[in-house]
Amino acid sequence: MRTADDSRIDPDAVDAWYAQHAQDLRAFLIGVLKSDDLAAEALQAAFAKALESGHTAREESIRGWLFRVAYHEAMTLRRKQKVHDKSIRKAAWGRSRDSESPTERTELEETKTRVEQALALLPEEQRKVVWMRIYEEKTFSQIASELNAPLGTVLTRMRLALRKLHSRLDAKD
Amino acid sequence: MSRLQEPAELEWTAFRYIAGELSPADVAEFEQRLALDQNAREAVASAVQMAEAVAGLQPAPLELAPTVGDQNPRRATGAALVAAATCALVLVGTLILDRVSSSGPHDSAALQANDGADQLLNLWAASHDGLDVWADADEGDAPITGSDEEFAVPSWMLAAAEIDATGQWDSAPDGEAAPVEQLQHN
Repeated sequence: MRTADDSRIDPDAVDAWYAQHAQDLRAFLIGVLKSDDLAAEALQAAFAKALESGHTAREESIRGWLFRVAYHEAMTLRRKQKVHDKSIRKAAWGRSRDSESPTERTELEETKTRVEQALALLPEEQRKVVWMRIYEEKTFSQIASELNAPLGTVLTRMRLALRKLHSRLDAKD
Repeated sequence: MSRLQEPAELEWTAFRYIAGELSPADVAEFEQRLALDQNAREAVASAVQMAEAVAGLQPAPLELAPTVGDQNPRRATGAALVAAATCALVLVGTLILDRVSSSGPHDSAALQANDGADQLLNLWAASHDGLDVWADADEGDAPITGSDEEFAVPSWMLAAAEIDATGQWDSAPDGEAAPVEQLQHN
């Protein structure tokens, strides 16, 4: 995967890394930066860094290396710009879909389907908490108040629901 | 926040991190961990993807049960029927009283008819104020709500309120009460 002078990585190899890891990296960066635009910027910077110094990464830990570099890029970006907190929904879903490849869109649709199926299997009270927190963007305190349930109960329902949803998402791997 | 977390605990922390629900101290600690721990980074990515998928869903397929404050149609319909029946009985009573009073002087009859109409309208309003009286106690604590249209005074009651002093029921050819505008011109 390295070029003849062994000081730079083969761009094709970086392309392959991008195809394999960019979607997860982008999600990670959105989680850190709470902004789709900044996440895209950090992702671009991370792959620019990969072109420069990707040859220092070990083949077996490319993914971890990319995540680490992306995180440092995100932190640098955050220091430069004042990042306003966005809601999960706006940060995760409010982004433009135009830049996505057909493969990315297909994967996203598959993820949606799996999550939808997993949500349908949840007990009603857990499903409702997930929906109110993520879709309706209510705080846990508001949810507790509206459902007339203790805050601890609401948090427990959310934790249990997340565990099940993650299990479902992990099943893709 | 412990560094050594079970996967479920890590997922939970990651979710609270992306949701902005960690304290500043916990955020700082978690971000230190993100610099070092690939599992934590993966958990953040996974939490965002999960939230993204949920946020992109439509509410309808989930068939969520109504939350507090939503109307219970069965209860509302039952209460409205009871209220309507009560008003119908009051109307019949008022008409009988009206006819009896029509044998007296014209001014006195008109006065009594107007009193009856006022009573009727007041009773209607009171019956709607008291809808919860007939609500099932075990079907949630949401107050019954309804649109203005649903609780509008029906035309037959307005017609009754406009009955003239002779006690004659001015009805439309098809047997229904005449429109209010028509009654007002009579």
